[in-house]
Amino acid sequence: MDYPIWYLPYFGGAMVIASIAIVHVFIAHFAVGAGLFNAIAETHALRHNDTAIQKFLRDNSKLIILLPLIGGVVTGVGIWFSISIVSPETTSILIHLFLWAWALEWLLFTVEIISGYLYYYTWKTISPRAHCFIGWVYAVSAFLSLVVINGILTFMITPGHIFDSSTTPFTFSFWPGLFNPAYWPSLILRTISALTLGALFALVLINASRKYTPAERDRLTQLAGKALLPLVLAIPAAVWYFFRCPPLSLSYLTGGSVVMGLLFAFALVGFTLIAFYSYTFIIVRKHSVTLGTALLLLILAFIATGASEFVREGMRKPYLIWNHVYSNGILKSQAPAIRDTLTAQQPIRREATIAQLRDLPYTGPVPNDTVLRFHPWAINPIDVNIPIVTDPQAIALELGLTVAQLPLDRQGAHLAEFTISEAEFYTQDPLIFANLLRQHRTGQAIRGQWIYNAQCLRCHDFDGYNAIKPLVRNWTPTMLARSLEHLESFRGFMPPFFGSPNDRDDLAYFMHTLDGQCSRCHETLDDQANRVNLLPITAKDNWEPLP
Amino acid sequence: MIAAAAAPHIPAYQHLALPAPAWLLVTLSTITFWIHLIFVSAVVGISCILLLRCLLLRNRSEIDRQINSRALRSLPLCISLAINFGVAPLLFTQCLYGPWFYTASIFIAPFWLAVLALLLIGFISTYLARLKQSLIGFICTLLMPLAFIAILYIMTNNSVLTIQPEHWIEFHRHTSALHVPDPIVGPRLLHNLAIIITLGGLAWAWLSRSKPAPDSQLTQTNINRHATRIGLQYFFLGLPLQIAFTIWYLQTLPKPLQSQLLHTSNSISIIWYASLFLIGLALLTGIVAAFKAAGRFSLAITTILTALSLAGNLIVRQHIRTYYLSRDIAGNLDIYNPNSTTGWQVQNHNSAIIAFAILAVICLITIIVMLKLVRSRPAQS
Ligand code: HEM
Repeated sequence: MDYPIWYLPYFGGAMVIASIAIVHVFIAHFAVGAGLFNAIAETHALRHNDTAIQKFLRDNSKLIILLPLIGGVVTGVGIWFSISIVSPETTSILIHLFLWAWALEWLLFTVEIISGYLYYYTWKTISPRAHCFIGWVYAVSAFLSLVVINGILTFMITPGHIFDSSTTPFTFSFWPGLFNPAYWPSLILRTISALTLGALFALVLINASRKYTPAERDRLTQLAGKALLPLVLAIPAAVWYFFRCPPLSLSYLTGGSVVMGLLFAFALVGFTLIAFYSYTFIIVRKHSVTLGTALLLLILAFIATGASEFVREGMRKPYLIWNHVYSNGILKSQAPAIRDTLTAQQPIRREATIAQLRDLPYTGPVPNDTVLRFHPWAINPIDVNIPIVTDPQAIALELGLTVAQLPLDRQGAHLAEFTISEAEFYTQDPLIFANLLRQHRTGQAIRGQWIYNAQCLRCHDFDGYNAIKPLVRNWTPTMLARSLEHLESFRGFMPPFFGSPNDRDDLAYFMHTLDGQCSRCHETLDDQANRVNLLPITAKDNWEPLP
Repeated sequence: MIAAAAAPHIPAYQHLALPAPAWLLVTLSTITFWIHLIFVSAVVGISCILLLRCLLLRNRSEIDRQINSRALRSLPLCISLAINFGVAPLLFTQCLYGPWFYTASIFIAPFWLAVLALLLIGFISTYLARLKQSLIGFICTLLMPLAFIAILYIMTNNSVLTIQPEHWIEFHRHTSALHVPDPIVGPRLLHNLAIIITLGGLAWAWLSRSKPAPDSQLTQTNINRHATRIGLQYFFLGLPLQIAFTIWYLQTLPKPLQSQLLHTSNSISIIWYASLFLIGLALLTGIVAAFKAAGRFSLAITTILTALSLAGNLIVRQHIRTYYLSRDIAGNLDIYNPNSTTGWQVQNHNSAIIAFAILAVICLITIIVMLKLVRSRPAQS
C-alpha cells in the first residue's frame, strides 16, 4: 500500500514474477541436480576407470554445467528485480529478516560460478582427481545454496512462533526462522526434484547421441536410474510437508480450489510414475531407455515440478507471509489501525496529493519541499481521467448545466474541478480534497479507484489475466459492497477489505462503473426526453446505503 | 522505519530493524559494488574495444585475431561475476535504502525489467560473436556493447532517481520515462563510462593475453606486448575523459556538497583528492607500462592504482547519496543514527553475521585451492 503500484497490463504483476520464477526454479533445480549427478558420475568413473562416463560428462558439461549456471544467474536476478517492483513491502520485510541468509547464499553462488567455469574449462588441463574435486565443489556449493534459500521460501508459508509482525520493530529470530517448521520436508522434496531433473536430463543426452555403444549407454542409464531412486521418498516427504503447513492452506488442495487440487494431483502422479518406471524398468529389469521415453520422462518431471511450485505458491494465499503479510502487501497486524485511523486514508491522501499536483504546470523539480512531505516515497500515478464520466452529457446533467456551458478542456476531466473552486483545489489539504471528492459520483469513483489500486490491483488487473471486469459483471453496487464487507470469507484466497464504510462504498461504486453497461439501468438524456423510466443518474442514494 | 517525524503515518510494516549496523552494511556494499564495477568495466570495456577493433581493423593479423578471440572468450565469466557482484550491493542497498530504491525502480519498471532482456542479449551475443566472418557474428559484436551500455544508462538513472525524490512527481506524469531530468545525470553517466573505459582498457591488457597456438610463430612476449599496448591505448583515452567528466560532474552537484568535497579538510575531501592523486599516479605508471609492455609489474601497479582510485570514488559516491537523502525532501534520512527520532533501529543478527564471516573465509580458501589446482596440476590424459 505504501509504494507505487506496478503491473503489466493484461498480465498483472504477480504473473511477471511467476513466469520468471518458474523458469528460475526449473533451471536452479536442474543446476543443483545436474551438479550432484555430475559429481557422483565422475567419482564413479574415476573409481571404476570408466572412460565412457568421463567422456560423456566432458562432452556435455556445457549443457549440464555451464548453461544452467548462466540461465540461473540471469533468472535469479530477474526474481530480485521483479519481486522488488511488484511486492516491495514484502521484499523489504524478507530482506531485513534474511539479509544474512541471502548473503550466505551469495557467497555460495560465487563459489558455484567460479567452480562451474573452472570445471568446464579444465577437463583436459588438470588431473582427473583435481577435476573431480572441482566438480564436487560445484555440486556442494549449488546444493548448499538450495539449503539456504529453501529456508526463506518455507518461512513464507510457516513463519512459526519466532516471528511477530505486530511489534516495533518486528520480533524475529534468525536461525529458527530459517529452519522453520516446513524446512526439512521441503528440502527433501526439492532435493529429490533436483536430482530427478538432473538424472533425466542426463538420460536424454545419453540417448540423443550416437557416440556411445549400447553397453556404454546402458551403464550410464543405470547410473541415472539410481539417481532417480530417491523419488520413492517424494510421497512421504510431501505428506510430512503438508502436515507442517497451516490447515487452512491445505483446504485449497482438498476441494477449496479445483485448479490447485488438480495440479497437486498431477505433480504427485507425475513423480510417482517416474519413480515407478525407473525402479521397475531401469533398475530391476535393466531395460535400456529410448530417447523418446527419456524426453517424455523429462517433460513429465518439468511439468510436475512446475505444478508443485504453483501449488506451493497458491497455498499461501491470501498471504505472502502466512498470517502476517497479505498478497497486497498489507500487514495483518495493521488491520485494526487501518480500520480505525487515518492509516487507511494514506493511499487516498497520497493520490489526492498527486491529483492536485498533476495539474500544476511543471517547471523543473518541484520547488516546494512540503509538497512531498506527506510521504516522499509513496506516491502513486493515477489517471484521474476515469472513463466513466467522460460523457460530457452526463457531467453536464449532474451539474445542472448544458454541454455547451462546460469548458471544453474540462470535458471528461475530473469532476472535483466543477465543485471545488480553483483556489480550494490547490490549497486544500489533500485529505480534505479527497473527502470533498466524495460529494460527487465521479469523485467517489476516483477515490474508489485509488482504493482499488492500493488494495486490489496487485492481483486483479482490469482486463486480462484474473481481471476484475468479468468477475464483477452485472453486479449491483449493493452486492459489491456486501461482498467487500467480508471479502476474506467471500473468497478464502482474498485478503479482507481495509477501510471505512465510506471507502468501501466508493470502492464498490468504482467497481460498479467497470461494468461499462451503465445505460442498462441509468437513464440518458435521450431516455429523459422519451420519458423512459430508468434509474436517474443524478440520484445519489438510489442504492441501498451500507450499514 | 524512517522519517517518522516528517511523515507520522508510515505504516507499521516499515518498522523493521536493520540486521546489522549501518556501517557494516555500507562497507560490505561498497566493497562488493567496487568489485561489481571492476567486472562491469571488463565487460563493457572489452566489448566496446572489440567492436571498435572490428570496425577499424580491416586486415587482421594473426596476433590480432588471437587476442581478440581470447578477450571475447573471457567475457562470459566476467559477465557472470559482474552480475554476481551486482547482487550483493543490491541486497545491502535494498536493506538500507529500500523505500527510495524500490520507488525509483518501480517508476522505471519497464526499463528495470528490460535489464534482464539486455543481459540475456549481451550474454548470448558473447557466444554468437565467435562466429567469425558471418553477419550474425558482426551483429552480435555490435549488440554486446550496446546492450551493456543500455544497462549502464538504466542503472545510472535508477541511482539518480533513488536519491532525488523531487523528480518522482515528474515520473507520475510520464509513467514510462527513464531519463531523470536533472543536470547531474549527463555528467554522471559520462563519468561512469569514462571510468569503465579506463579500467576496461586495463582489463583488456590482462585478459586478451592468450597463449600462442602450438603451430604459430608468435611468442608469448609478442602477444603480451600487443595486448598491453592496445589495452593501454584505451586506458589513456579514458583517463583524461574521466578527469574532465569528474570535474563537470562536481560542478553539477549542489553547492554545499561541492564545498564539502573541495574546500574543507574533512575525511571525505581527503578521499576525494586521494582518489584524484591515485589516478594521476596511474597515468605515470601507465606510461611506464606502455614502454615495458611485455611485462606485468608496471601494468599491475597501474591496475591497482586505478582500482584504488575507483574505490575512493565509490566512497565519495556514498557520501553524495548520504547528502542527498539527508535533505528534507528526501525524508531527512540518517542511516548512522539509530534510535533517533527517525525510528531507525538496529538489531544485529550476530550469529548470522559470524556465520557469514566464517563462510566467506571458507569460500575464499576453496576458491584459492581450486585456482592453485588449476595452475599447478599438469595434464594427465
Ligand atoms: C553488465 C551489466 C551491468 C552494467 C554495465 C552495470 C553498471 C552499473 C553502473 C555504471 C552502476 C553505477 C550507477 C551510478 O551510480 O551512477 C551500477 C550500479 C549498480 N548495479 Fe550494476 N551494472 C550491470 C549489471 C548489474 C546487475 C545484473 C545487477 C544486479 C544483480 C546490478 C546491480 C547494481 C546495483 C545494486 C547498483 C547500485 C549499487 C549502489 O547503489 O550501492 N548491476 N551498475
